[in-house]
Amino acid sequence: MTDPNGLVPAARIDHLYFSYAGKPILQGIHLQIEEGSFTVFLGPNGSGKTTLLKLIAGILEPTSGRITVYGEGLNEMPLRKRARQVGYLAQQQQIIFPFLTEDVVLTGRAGGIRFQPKTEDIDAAVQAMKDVGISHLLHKPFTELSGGEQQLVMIARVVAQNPKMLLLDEPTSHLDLHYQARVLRFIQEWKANGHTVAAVLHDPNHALIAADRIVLLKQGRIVGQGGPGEIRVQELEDVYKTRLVPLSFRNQTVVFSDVDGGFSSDAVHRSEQRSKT
Amino acid sequence: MKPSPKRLLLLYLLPIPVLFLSLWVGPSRMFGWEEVIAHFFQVGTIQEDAGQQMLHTILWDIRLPRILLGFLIGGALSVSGCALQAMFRNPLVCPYILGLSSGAAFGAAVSIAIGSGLLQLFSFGFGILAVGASYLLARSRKTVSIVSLILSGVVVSGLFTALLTIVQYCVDPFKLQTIVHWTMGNLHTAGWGKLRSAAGPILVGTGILLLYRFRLNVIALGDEQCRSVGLHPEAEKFRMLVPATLAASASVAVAGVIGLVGLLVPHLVRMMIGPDNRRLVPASFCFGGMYLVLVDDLARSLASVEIPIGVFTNLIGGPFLIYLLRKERVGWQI
Repeated sequence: MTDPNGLVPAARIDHLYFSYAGKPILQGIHLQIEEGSFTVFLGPNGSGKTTLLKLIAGILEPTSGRITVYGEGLNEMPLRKRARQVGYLAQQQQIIFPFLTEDVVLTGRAGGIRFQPKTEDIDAAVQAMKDVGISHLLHKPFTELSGGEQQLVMIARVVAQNPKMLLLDEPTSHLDLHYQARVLRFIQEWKANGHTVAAVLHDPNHALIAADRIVLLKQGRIVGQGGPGEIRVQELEDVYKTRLVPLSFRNQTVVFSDVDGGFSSDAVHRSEQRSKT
Repeated sequence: MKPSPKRLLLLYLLPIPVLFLSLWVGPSRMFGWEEVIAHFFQVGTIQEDAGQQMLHTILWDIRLPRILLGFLIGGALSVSGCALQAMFRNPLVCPYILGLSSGAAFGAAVSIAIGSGLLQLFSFGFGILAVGASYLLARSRKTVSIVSLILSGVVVSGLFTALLTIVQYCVDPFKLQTIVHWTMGNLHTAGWGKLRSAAGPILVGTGILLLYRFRLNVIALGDEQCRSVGLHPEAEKFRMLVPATLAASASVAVAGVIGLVGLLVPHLVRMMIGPDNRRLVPASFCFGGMYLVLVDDLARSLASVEIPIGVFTNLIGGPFLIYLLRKERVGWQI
């Protein structure tokens, strides 16, 4: 399936519905993820972002509708082939055994390993850890790492898998500012190498700063989408049901939650003036 | 940290001297080590002397098959324990979790009660039947959740235990004694015949698990993590459950219920070399085999009457496991 320009999109979602225990989670989703782009799903808790990501990753099967990845139906695709097309980073890690991080990252190569990993698989795992900047964690037990370090190890695992499209569920959660910036930079590098990235992010500012396209979800439906410059603050306010204060900086807009209504328009104006100078 | 190659080599090679030295252990103290060694280098020659023939019988027909069978059973239960712990993502799991031991015990009891003479076949068959029933009961919408599998295992286990009690209640006292003795687990009837019948399924089962041991690492990370890298979690669980059950059932069929080996050994080896199943599975086979041979050495030499090995593995294994869990840095977060 191609778009009007004759390009095959990385993923295409048509008439997608998903219910769990009779409760509708996603309703009538239509979406196209362009190849080589960074798409971010934003929305409040329970809006269906993670479910949508899991459906595109093939972790869940849709109740109805169709998902195609690089022109091929996802559900008809063998799992091993799917693993070469799509890589998925889960929101939470529940690893019980104290595996070394190297061993965890190596499992990212499992789709291409029949019995035992070869030297090239081990090299790819080590390289992925280098790329993510966590070589120093190579021989540490995964269960002894902080939540943020565990997140980075799992990112390295999906990098070692080397799929065409990365699906990341809250890749910056648990991370401090340093690692948040590193992950966002890494996504840009990954994209620059021709890969496609789609992510669920908690912080709308990360999307406003780094995404090519933002998709807003509310109660299982897409309520808005566009580039960071096209998304209006009011749309974000409607989705998150909270008052937001925009702040412009270097031609980019970020938003603050106006927690106690303390941001007066004067204060915002002064802040904008400061950023211009 | 990664285990040192020396430690790994030690784990793989240590069973060799232990198995060899175990040839000396037993109630018969008719000969010393010189005679045993001398005898070993003349194997095949005609034994005319009555003492030599006795030595030959004790070494070749009693002790050697018993040691080899003990090694295979210890290795099989340990590898099966490793696989199931990875599959269930739970270090508290043993090969008997899905009702294998109670099913096998019921099968053995039925065989003894009706005097079929097919005890091994009955216990092997019912052991596999129990695990199969647990698996099928837990299966819903083409998936098998770990919690439902454990629950169905408890139910099936309880069912077969109740049936075993009915058989025990109905049989005559002599048969009852045989049944009780069988359920204690023992190796004193080991011989080449038993070794031959158990070796096939044990070697096939452990061989398959050895071949796919890297996938145990993937399964141990959870269903989502398994699926996202291109492996089907249900197919992989089934692929691991079948050989693990095959090896453990064959062990129980020839030696009765030998408890705690499949739980204790993977723990011990994991403490020594870490949880990577690429190393853990072969090391557990070697260490588990050696452990059971050592326990059997104690069982047949400590008292004038042989103590059933299943009693010993529980007596030694239980407190030792608790000691290790309290002493060592094992902080499972489940």
